[in-house]
Amino acid sequence: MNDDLNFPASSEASSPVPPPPPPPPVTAKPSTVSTPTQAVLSEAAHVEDAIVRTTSLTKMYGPLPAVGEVTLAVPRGSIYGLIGPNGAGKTTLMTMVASLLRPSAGSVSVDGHDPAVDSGAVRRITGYMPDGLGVYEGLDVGGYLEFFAAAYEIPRGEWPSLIDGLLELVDLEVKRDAAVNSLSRGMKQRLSLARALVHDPQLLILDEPASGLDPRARIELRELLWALQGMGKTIIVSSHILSELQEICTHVGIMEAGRMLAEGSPDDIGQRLGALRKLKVRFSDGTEEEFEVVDKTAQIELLRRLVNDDERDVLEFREMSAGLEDVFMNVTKGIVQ
Amino acid sequence: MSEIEIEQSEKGTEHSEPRLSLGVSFRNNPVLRRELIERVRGVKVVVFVTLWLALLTLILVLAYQGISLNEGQEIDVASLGRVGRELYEWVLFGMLVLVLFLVPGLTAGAITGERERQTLVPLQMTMMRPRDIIIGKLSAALAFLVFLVVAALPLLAVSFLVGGVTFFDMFRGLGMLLFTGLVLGSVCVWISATLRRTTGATVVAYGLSFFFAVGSFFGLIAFAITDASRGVDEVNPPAELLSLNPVAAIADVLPRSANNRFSDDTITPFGGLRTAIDELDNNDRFENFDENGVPLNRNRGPRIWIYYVVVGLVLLVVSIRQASVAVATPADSER
Repeated sequence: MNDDLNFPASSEASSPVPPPPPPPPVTAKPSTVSTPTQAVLSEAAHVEDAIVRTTSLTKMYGPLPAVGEVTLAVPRGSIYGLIGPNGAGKTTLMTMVASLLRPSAGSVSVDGHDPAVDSGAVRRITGYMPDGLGVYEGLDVGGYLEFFAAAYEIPRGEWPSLIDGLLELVDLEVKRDAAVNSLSRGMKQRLSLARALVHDPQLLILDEPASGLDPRARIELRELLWALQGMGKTIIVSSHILSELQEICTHVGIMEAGRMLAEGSPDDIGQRLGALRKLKVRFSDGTEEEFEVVDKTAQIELLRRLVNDDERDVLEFREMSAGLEDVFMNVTKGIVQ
Repeated sequence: MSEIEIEQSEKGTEHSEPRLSLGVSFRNNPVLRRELIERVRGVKVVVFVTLWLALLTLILVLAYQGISLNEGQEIDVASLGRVGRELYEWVLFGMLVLVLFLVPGLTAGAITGERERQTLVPLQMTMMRPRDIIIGKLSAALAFLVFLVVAALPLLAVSFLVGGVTFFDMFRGLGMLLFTGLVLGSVCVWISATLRRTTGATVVAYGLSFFFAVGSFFGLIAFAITDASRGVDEVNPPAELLSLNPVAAIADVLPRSANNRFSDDTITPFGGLRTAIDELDNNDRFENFDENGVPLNRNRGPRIWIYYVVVGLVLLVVSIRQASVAVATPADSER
């Protein structure tokens, strides 16, 4: 048996013959996990090509730190998820990176520029989509994007092709002449994203982009983010809904009460915390089994072994539980400030 | 925020290419363009202009009726010039009162409205400088005011039929009216940039407009009461108290009657104020005599309207600057 694999954790009711009880997980959760704030799990120091880097970034409101000594590194080309409950400091952190808010202490660097000193340079390469929709109700969709194209000083001659391209990207071509106030929330959200992309930024900062969206709109948004990543853009996206981020993020930062509790790729964080990926396998004989593995490599190894060695044919092989949820529950304490 | 921080905030959105800041603030200002599009779209503007013209027409008709009653059945040809001026001044006074009502409404929500619609942050993230945003907002309000004034020109032109008013008189009166709108608008935009909610900003802006319109008169009354309580024979409040008053400034910028006799002046609020201003000046005059013991003539210093323009320009510059600082980023707190 591969050391990384944890054979069946449980069996489903549909399973005719219950599998033998599983051995204990190979990777035990380290005891340090229960007190996550004592040691920040961060990969920031190891990221070489970071488009955003913060060091001990702090924002104080009176005696209360909205963001306290956050150190992170966002690798270029990644989708970086900021996870945390409401009031964790995600928005404050993002507004400091976006040059909207001056830090109380610490430093931020966006592609080598300090947002507090050279905000113009930061804005040229950064698209920011705040939590609110922020749309002018009196304009039509095309006029709205034209307004922002002008505000970003894009030459007028480039507007038609730019706006056509953006509307195609966010799938709003047919709404070009529609009044902004006639759009659904999902459409307004996509329009806001198009607005943030008007000046073709390298870095996109999206604050709770999926809040209030229906399931279809969420799926469309997720696909849009993948498409943007494919275009070479780095995306920082926040949410307090883990399932939203789990599928799209290459890196995550888990925040609580203004602190960064863990930071890095989900697999690495999970590995360091001992969180296991739960997998469900359905076989051709109708049985279902669950497995726990520590990382993707182990997951591939499990699939290979099941396909090659197991007598039963594998009908379905899927990740069952939210590994990110386990990580989140492990590192956070439920502190609200 | 310290001076250095303010400079840094302003520099934060500076462009690499040198440019004439004020020129660019007006030319191709996206905020100005959008505001104008939003303002003139829909039926709201039609209703607005109709109401504006209806009220001014009503004032013109009432003024004409009042003058007819005052002058009797037949108006003396010799006093036709004064009648024409009275018609002009009544309509201009009506426009001033409406402007003092309109401008806070047009500008108090300029920035708070953006905040409430959650459009301020996306705007702050663009390459527009805070000053461009403020000037765009202010010039949009002023442009709308110019539009209303132009729409009312035919009503003002009625006075030309009677006579007594020159194009220069009209230019002076309307110029001062628009200047008043600009200064009041700039202070209201500053209020809007400083406060969080449109409701609060609107209340403060209307309070300011009211103070702007009548505060000086309260000041004069307070001075007069103080003089009287001291047992001064003739109360003598300083005419400069009217330096901040738009009614006094417009009254002062319009020409006096041909022979400068108070009794010949128009029977309008402006005419009444001109009389009051000249009375106050004369109070001072009789306290000063030349070497021959002859009382010095009136106009011992700059006219009221000149004070008004200077104070107004200072307010305009300070308001635009402070409003720009209030919307500048990076900010010290989330707004």
